[in-house]
Amino acid sequence: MSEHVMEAQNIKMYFGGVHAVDDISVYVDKNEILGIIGPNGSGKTTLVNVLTGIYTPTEGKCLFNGQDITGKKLQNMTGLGIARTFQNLRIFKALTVMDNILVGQHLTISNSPWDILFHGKHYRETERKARERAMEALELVGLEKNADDFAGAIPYGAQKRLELARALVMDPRLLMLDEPTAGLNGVESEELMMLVKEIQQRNQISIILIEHNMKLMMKLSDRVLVMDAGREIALGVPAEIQSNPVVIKAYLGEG
Amino acid sequence: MEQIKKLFSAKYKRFWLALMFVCLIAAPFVTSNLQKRVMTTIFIYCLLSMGNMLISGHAGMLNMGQAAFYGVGAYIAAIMQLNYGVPFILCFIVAGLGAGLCGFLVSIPCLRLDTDFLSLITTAFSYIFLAIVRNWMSVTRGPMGLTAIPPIELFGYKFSGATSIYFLLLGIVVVCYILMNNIVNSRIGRAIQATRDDSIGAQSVGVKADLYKVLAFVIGTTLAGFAGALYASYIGYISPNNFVYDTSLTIMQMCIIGGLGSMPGSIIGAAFFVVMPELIRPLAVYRVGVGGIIMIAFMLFRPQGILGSRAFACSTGIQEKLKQKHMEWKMRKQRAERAGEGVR
Ligand SMILES: Nc1ncnc2c1ncn2[C@@H]1O[C@H](COP(=O)(O)OP(=O)(O)OP(=O)(O)O)[C@@H](O)[C@H]1O
Ligand SMILES: [Mg+2]
Repeated sequence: MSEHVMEAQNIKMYFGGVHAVDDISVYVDKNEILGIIGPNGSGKTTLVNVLTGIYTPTEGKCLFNGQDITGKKLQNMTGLGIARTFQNLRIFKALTVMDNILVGQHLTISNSPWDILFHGKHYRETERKARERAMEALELVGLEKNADDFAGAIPYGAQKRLELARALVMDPRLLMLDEPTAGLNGVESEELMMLVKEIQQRNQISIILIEHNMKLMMKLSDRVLVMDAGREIALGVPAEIQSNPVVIKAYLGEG
Repeated sequence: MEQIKKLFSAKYKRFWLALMFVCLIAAPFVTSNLQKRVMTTIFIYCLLSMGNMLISGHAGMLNMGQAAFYGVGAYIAAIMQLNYGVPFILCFIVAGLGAGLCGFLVSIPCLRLDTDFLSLITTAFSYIFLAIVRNWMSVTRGPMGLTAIPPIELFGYKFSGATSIYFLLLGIVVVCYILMNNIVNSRIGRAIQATRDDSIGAQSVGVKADLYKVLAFVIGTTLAGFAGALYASYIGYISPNNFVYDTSLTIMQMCIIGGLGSMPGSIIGAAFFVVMPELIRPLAVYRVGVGGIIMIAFMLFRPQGILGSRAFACSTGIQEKLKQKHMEWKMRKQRAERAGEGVR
C-alpha cells in the first residue's frame, strides 16, 4: 500500500452526546484536492479540527505520511508541513498585515536570543529576507498595498485572503481550507479558488477543502467527501457525487 | 492641525529623539534636588511599566501583581546586602532573577485559564507576598520595614548624590527600553502579540503559545525585580507599604493611559502618573479622585491610550462615536435637503 499524505482512520469525535464526527475514514494523496461538503453542522469543521490536532479524537487514528499524529498538538503541525485556515477568521487583528505574514514565518526565521536583544547583522539579514518573502505572499493574494494597515481594519474579503497568505507562506505540504470563500461575492470567490488551484499545481501540494459553493467544488476537487450528521454518505470523484442518488436527496436536491 | 501632525511624523522622529536626549542630559544641571528625585522616581516606574506593558499590553495578560514582583526584587536585594554584605551588582541580578522566577511560577497555572482569571491569580500573589513580608518578622522586620540599605555602589563608585543616581537610572532605562523594543519588534515579540490576538491562530502557524505567554511574564517580572533592587538602594528604606496592591493598580493605569501595546506609551504613562500627583498637590483633599476621573475620561475619549493603536482597543471612544453620529446626521440632512430641492 502506498503512503497517503494524510489519512484518517475511523475518526470519531463525540462531544458528550453530540456525535460531531462519526466513523469517518478518508485520505488525501500527493497533489490532490479533497473536497468536503455537507449541510451546516454536519461535522466538517470538527473533522478538520481533529486532523490538525485542535481536538483529540474520541476514537480513530490520523496518519501523516504514514506517521501517527493522533493527539499531536496544533502548534506542532506546522513543523510537519500542515497549514490551515479557519472558518471564522483567526488573523492577528492588532498586528499589521505585514506582521501577520511574518508571524506565519515564525518557524523559518531563526534568530539567537542575542540577535533578538541587540538586532545584530544576522537579525537584519533574516528580517529583510522574511519581509521580502512576506511581500511576495501578499502580492500573490493582492494585498501588497495593505502591508502597513492593521489586519483588523481591512475589509472582510481581504482578511480572508490574508489568512490564506499566512498559511501559504509556511510552505505547507498539506493545506486545509475551511470555507475560504464564505462571505465573499461570486467573482471574489472564483478568483480566490483559481488562485488556490494555481498554487496547488505549482507547489505540488495536497489540499483539503471545505466549501459550500457546489459549482466551484465540483470544478476544483479531485475527490469529494459528502458528510451528513457526522457520517460519510458518499465519497468519490465529482461526477459520481453529482449523480449519486443519496447525495442528490440529502444535499443537492435542496438547491 | 495638519502641520502639527506633520511635525510629529516619522520624518522628524530623529530630531525629537535627539532633542529629548539633550533635555534629559541637561536636566539635572538646571533642576532642584526635588525635581531630580521626581525624575528618578519616573525612571523606576518606567522599568515597572515597561515590564507590565509586555505582559499586559503585548501578551494581553492582565497582571495585577507587578508591585509584588517589584517588592520581591526589593526585599531580595535589601536582605542580601544587609545580612550578607553582597555587592550591589550581584544583588541587582539576583533580584531580577528572583522576581522572574516568581513570575514563572505564577504564570504556570495561568496557562490553563483566561486572562480574567490571571488578574485574580496575580492579585492573590500580591496579597500573599504582602502577608509574608508583614509577618516574617525575623527576616523582613514586618511593617517596620528594612532600614539603612546602603546606597548603590558599582565598581568602587558610590552613587549617593541625586545627580549620579539620576544618570545611572537614566542609563538603565534607556538600555532596558532599547532591549524591550528590540524584543517586541522581533520574531519573539510578534509571536507574543499574535498569541494575544488569537491563540489558536498563532498555534496554527507553529507558535508555541504557552511558551510565549510564560516568556512574556518572566521578562516583564524580571524588570520589576530590577526596579525593586534599584529602589531599595536608592531610597535606603523599604516597607510593605511600598508594594501594596494600589501600586500595582497605578502601574496598570500607567500602561493603559500610555496605550496598551506601545512601549513608548509605558514611558509616557509612567511620567504622567508620577508627575500628575505633584502637580495637583494644591487641590489638597480633592486630589484623590483626580486619577480616577482622568481614567474615566480616557476610557470615554481615547480608550486606546495616548500612544496605543486603535486596532487593539477595538471599540472606539465616545468622541469617535459622537463624530460618527454627527457625520451621519449631516449626511441625512444633506440628503433631505437635496430631496427637498428636487421636489421644488
Ligand atoms: N467544541 C464543541 N463542543 C460541543 N459541540 C461541538 C463542538 N464543536 C462542534 N460541535 C458540534 O458538532 C457539530 C458539527 O459542527 P461543525 O462545526 O463541525 O459543522 P460544520 O459541518 O463545519 O458546519 P458549518 O457548515 O456550519 O460550518 C455541531 O452540531 C456542533 O454543534
Ligand atoms: Mg464549519
